[in-house]
Amino acid sequence: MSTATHAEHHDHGHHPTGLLRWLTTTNHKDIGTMYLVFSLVMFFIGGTMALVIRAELFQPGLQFVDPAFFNQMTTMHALIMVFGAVMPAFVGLANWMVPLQIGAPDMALPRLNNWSFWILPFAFSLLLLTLFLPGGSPASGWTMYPPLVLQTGNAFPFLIFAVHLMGLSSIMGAINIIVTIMNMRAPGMTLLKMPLFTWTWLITAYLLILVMPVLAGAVTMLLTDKYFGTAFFTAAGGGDPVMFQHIFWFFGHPEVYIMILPAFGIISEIIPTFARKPLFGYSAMVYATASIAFLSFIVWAHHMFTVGMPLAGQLFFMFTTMLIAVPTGVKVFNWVATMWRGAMTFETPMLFSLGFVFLFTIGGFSGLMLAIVPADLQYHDSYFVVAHFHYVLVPGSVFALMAGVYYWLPKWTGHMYNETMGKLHFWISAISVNLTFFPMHFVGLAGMPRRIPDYATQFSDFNAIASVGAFLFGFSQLLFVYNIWRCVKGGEKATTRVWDGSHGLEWTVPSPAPLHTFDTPPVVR
Amino acid sequence: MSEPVNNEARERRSRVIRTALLLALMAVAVYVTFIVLAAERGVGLR
Repeated sequence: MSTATHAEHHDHGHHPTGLLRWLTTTNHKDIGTMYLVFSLVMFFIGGTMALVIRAELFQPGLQFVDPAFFNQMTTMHALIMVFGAVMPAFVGLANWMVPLQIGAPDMALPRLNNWSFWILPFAFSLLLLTLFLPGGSPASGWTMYPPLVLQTGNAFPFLIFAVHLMGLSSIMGAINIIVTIMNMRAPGMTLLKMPLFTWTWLITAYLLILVMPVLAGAVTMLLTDKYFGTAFFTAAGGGDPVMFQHIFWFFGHPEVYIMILPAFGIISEIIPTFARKPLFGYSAMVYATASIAFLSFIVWAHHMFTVGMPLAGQLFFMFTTMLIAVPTGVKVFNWVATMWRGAMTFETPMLFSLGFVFLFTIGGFSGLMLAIVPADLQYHDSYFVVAHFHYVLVPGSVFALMAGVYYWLPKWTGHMYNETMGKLHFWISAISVNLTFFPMHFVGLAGMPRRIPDYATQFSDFNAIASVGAFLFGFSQLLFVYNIWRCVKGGEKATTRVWDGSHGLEWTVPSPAPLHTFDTPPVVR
Repeated sequence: MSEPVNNEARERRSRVIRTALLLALMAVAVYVTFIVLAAERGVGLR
């Protein structure tokens, strides 16, 4: 791919400075940075809630918090991590990298982009302020199942409006990404020449537009059930609570893929760079991503096997769920094949990517176990499920995010991060994440239920190990923040290409990437 | 996006707005469809 790049800084008259700059910016790099900083803050707030949970579960019996507050912590931890940390972090990376990867000067709708971001602090203020309301925060779990969620006190309307705002922000962000990719590509940048990160985001954005309104519809109906006398989900009025579960998971399962497909994209960028080989099976990766996205729409009821459904339904959802292993297996095979006989080096982004391949696959395998109907009847609502989705989300999505940040940080800041500290961060994270979540498989299989602040003494040892791991993981993230801070402030100058094996348009602009890039479109051959 | 300066830019801007509107309409349609389906299936609005 050869390119011509115009990356000089253009001064378009007066720019606001200070806070006003960030409030009014329409620049994709500024907005990307704001998304990333916001998600990091949320990551620490949600992480603190996780540590409250793990402190309580360190020993059997009630230790620090009362059970009602424990339930609030599990609910808020999930909502904040899903909607406040992981999703905005991927949107931040998309804002920074998609225009650079396709040779566009900015996002197609920059003002909408600013609005999408600035909705989020308001949404999460609404949600977090519920902690200070009489009765506290929502405590029904992030799934918001009625009738339990309808018993939420003053926090209920805050929860519903916060979810609506998050959905609005996501939909507007997704529209922007699709419009940018479809209309702003540089000449010669055909769809099948696009970098995998951009491809996975294109597919993710379609998923977002198709499922976020479903969540919005579901929570609107909850709102009218509680305050306006409707009975969509209220059995006493002739409604059907199980219908909410179907609608929620019709959103919820694609949501899982919204949080992992861009991660696949990041890993598909990093492994070829550090294996110094082109990605094995590029088009297979694109088709596998699209297949996973399609399948995500027809598997939702595997979250509900214990609710009861006809045998044909059980079989359908079991087999379609298992089918997802095929395109996912294609991806894992292709990553391994890319590394095969490559001239590999193990810088921090590569270490996190390898961690991802190994540990995400563990989450994938436990997902297959959960897909088996008769086995799921045993595993459902146990710590085995908690182990499964945390393997997918923490050493899966979060490791990929960290890999992506280390990979592109020199391009953003113009400085190299401290490699030794990066490696230390990886190894402590990789060890502690396994300490935290692997024992949860054992206690789950032995019958420990999730979302309970107390447990039988037989589960004590594994819970103590999990809690120690969680604190280690939590505090080791301070290394990550310190490394980023040092890198922003200074350090060894990064070259334009940054990495030996890097390819693509983003590596043709100087480091740090100037505020305005590709004002004249590059030509891609 | 700055003001269109030529036909090509003008055409791209209208393509951008058309695509964005179409996607926004799609989102609204999904939202309405699910509420109507739920109302039809149950007794939501009775």
